[in-house]
Amino acid sequence: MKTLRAACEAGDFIVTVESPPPKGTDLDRFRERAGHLLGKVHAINVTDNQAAIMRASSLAVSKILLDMGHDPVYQITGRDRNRLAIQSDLLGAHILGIRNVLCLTGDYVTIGNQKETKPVFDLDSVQILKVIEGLNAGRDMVDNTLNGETDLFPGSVAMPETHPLEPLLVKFEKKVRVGARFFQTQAVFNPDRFQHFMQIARSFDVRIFAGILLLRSEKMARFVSNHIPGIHVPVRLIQKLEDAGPEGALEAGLDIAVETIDAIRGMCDGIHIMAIGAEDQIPVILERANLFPCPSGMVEG
Amino acid sequence: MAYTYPDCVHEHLCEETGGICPIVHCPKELVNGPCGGVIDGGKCEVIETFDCVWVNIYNKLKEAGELDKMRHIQEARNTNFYAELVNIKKDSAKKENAKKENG
Repeated sequence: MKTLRAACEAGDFIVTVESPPPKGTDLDRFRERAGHLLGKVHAINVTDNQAAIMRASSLAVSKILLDMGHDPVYQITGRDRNRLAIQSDLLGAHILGIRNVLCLTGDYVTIGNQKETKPVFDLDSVQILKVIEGLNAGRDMVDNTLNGETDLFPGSVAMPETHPLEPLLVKFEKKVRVGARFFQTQAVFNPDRFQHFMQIARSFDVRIFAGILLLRSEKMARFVSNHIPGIHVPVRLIQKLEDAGPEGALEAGLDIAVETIDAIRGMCDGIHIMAIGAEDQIPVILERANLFPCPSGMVEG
Repeated sequence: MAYTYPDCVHEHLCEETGGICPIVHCPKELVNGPCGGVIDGGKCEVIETFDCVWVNIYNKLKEAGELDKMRHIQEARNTNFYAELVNIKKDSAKKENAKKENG
């Protein structure tokens, strides 16, 4: 089975999906969902206390996926750990066999449900990428030589539909300059805005995977549009979900996801599916978008 | 709006940010540009009534024709604060001990 890095280097159209770790120690449901995706996706992202809500360690759960035969994308943020912890966790990730690392700043602690938490932010996403550049070259942050370097494949996130976009593009360019090789984007709902972003992103030698968010109701569409930065669900799509009613909303959401994939697949290098609690629908999206089985010719298991 | 930290922890940063201190104005104290929490129109996700300081810095540098400054990769911050705090505590413990010995 091709790794994410090998598939990127081969120029395959990439499919990654997001899978939050369990809230607790019971892995049954997590393993079951991940099992359905074997051979159907290039990699599975494991979120790191996403939205500042505590879940099992993204490092530990990435290792679980690796043992199942998946290629995990280990997400690491600067919110919960200082530079010592970040460097040591990255060494730990390599030792465990994890290669893909998605570097993020992290949602602020007050976004979550343990608002009294002390935010760390010792390093930002650019600086975490720079740490990986160093560790891959066998050096720590203060230029000490490592006894064995890492071989990590670093990536980060991009926000194609944020307005104003320009300040974020400056940061995007910085991330590329410190070694980001792939980008997974915030959910795309406006192919024209995404195209504008891609015209700029295309001048850099990086792989871009467009975020695809599965909407399951008109209420959810309004919520993400109003409360999640960088997401803009057009009125036309909200209306479509509303018209479908409670019974038909999931079906309408699947239609929207497939429609979006069809509109953007020619512009970018892959897609990154976020199903938020409906991970069992991911194979359905892939099948309807003719991304099942993966066009890269990956084999089951 | 444009003021620098009284006890600046990142001495030369404000020279590259149009005099606006991102450490004071960004909840995450980011030094390399905005996070993904920029709300439409350039507000901050954490404090929704605030402008994102990095959007303001971008606009100011662009107007001054100095956008290249924002492209510099800023190193991890030198947080000497904690080392200094340890030194202060060591000093005060030394003074306490000296007092006890003399008294």
